Amino acid sequence: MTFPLTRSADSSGAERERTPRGGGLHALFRKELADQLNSNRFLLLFALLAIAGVTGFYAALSTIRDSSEELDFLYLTLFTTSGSNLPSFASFLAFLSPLMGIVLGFDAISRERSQGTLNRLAAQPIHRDAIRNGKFLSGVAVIFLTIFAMGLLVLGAGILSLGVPPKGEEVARIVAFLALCGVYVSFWLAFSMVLSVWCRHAATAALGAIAIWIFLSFFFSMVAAAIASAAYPLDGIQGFYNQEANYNLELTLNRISPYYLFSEAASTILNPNVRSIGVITMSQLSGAVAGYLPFGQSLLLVWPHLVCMVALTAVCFAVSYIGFMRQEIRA
Amino acid sequence: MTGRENLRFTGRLNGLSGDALEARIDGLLRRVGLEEAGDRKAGTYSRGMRQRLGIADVLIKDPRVIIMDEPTLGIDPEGMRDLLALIRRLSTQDQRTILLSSHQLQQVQQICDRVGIFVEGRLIACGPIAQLAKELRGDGGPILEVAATPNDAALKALLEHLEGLRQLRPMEGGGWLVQGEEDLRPVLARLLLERGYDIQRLCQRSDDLDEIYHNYFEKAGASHDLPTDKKRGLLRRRA
Repeated sequence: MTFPLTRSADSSGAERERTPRGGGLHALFRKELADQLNSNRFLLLFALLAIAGVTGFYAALSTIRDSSEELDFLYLTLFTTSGSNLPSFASFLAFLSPLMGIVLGFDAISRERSQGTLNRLAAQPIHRDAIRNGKFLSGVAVIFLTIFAMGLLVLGAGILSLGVPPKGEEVARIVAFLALCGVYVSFWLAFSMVLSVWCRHAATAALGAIAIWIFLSFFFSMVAAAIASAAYPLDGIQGFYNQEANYNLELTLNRISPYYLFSEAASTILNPNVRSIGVITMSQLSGAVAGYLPFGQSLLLVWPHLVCMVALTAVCFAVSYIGFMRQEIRA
Repeated sequence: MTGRENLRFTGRLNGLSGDALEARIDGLLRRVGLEEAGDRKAGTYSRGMRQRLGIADVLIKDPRVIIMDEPTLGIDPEGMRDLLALIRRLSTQDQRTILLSSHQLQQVQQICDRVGIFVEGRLIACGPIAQLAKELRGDGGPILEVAATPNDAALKALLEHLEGLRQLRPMEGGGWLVQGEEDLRPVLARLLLERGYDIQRLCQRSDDLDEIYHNYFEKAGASHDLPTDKKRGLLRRRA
């Protein structure tokens, strides 16, 4: 049987242009996406988030049903009301979704290396950074898919059970909230990829990422409050003078944590009653007209938070990029 | 991923797609003998099958030169025969150049046209096996394997007093290895028959790569247990 590609049958002289699309990024993205969506890990995470979401949604539903007052933004309260002892859907999402980012990213590079497929990939005519970029992009795609799927599921379930269609502004706010959540989880994905590039073992990367996540979510606000109180103590006569500085310092320190950034942004977007972020003095408030903040203005308030999260993600991406490109890929 | 999906992935990374890629994958799977197993997960393959999948993977790029590092390590004998036959076909049918490294000298001898011998990281000999053997034995005649009954002291004395004898040493499993200035077979045959010996074996010793390697190893003066001086320290980067 003659193999179709014997030397003599080749077009002599003509250089074969066989570079893949996007330097290999397209093929890698497809493969990684298929791998992620087919893995048990993803199903487990999705189930976890779904259960958390459903719980929060159910709690909110019962609270809304029981309350007799008229609600202006029904669906926004659906997302933000907390039931008996259970946090709301939005806070569930804020708290648990970084786990998704961490789990998707922590063994991105270590898995390839330990399976021995990394140098096989690097031997193909693709750009070397396409390996990492493909993983990152597929992780981001999976994250956005999951978050939007869950958010829209809850929205649909709300429509079914409440019977009232949502207003346009409500839908816009919810979509903005979901997009913000996506960016927040992408930051955690980028962060865990940094750890995956630098740590040899996947377990080290996972533990490091989870430790930092717990620290930033639980303890950082306490640390910030403690530092602020140490710098500007609040007791005694001096305390009265220090209140504004104390509050501002605490706020600034808190904003270092992406969790706080996201919570602040989410509560601003989902609650049209929130008209400003930070300390407002009575003199600034005098003469203000009571009412809801329009969507555009809410977005303006939240803009710095979004930029900050995107910047953090970009920095983590850059660090892991440089780290990966400098590493030696050896058999 | 199944075997086919692996090949498809590699093909896509090389810029191939569509029907041309599928046709090539089918052809390759048939060539390496993985046609039925192509749609099973690669994790279920035996080691030999994985090596063959690896060869198919390399062939997608249609290279002119293929370098293989210990391709037959850890493979069962039947699988090894198939693999070696495949590698040989790659060279003869496709006119590709194959560079292969191995510690299994029997396999190397079977399929390689030219052999390079490395001792202590330096290439000390290179060429076809027959030529290497000739270089090693000098200008004398071929080494002969001689076995005759009865294998007594008289036979040894007879061999020792052969005219033009270069070297004589016992062979494993009884018998003698004789080398003379020229081909001693006709002389030996007549002599043994005249003295009434029954000749069990009288043939030229095939050039054994094991022997050749061992001789070159000794010539290079290398001993088996070399002290490897690794730098040891508290701060070692990248083991």
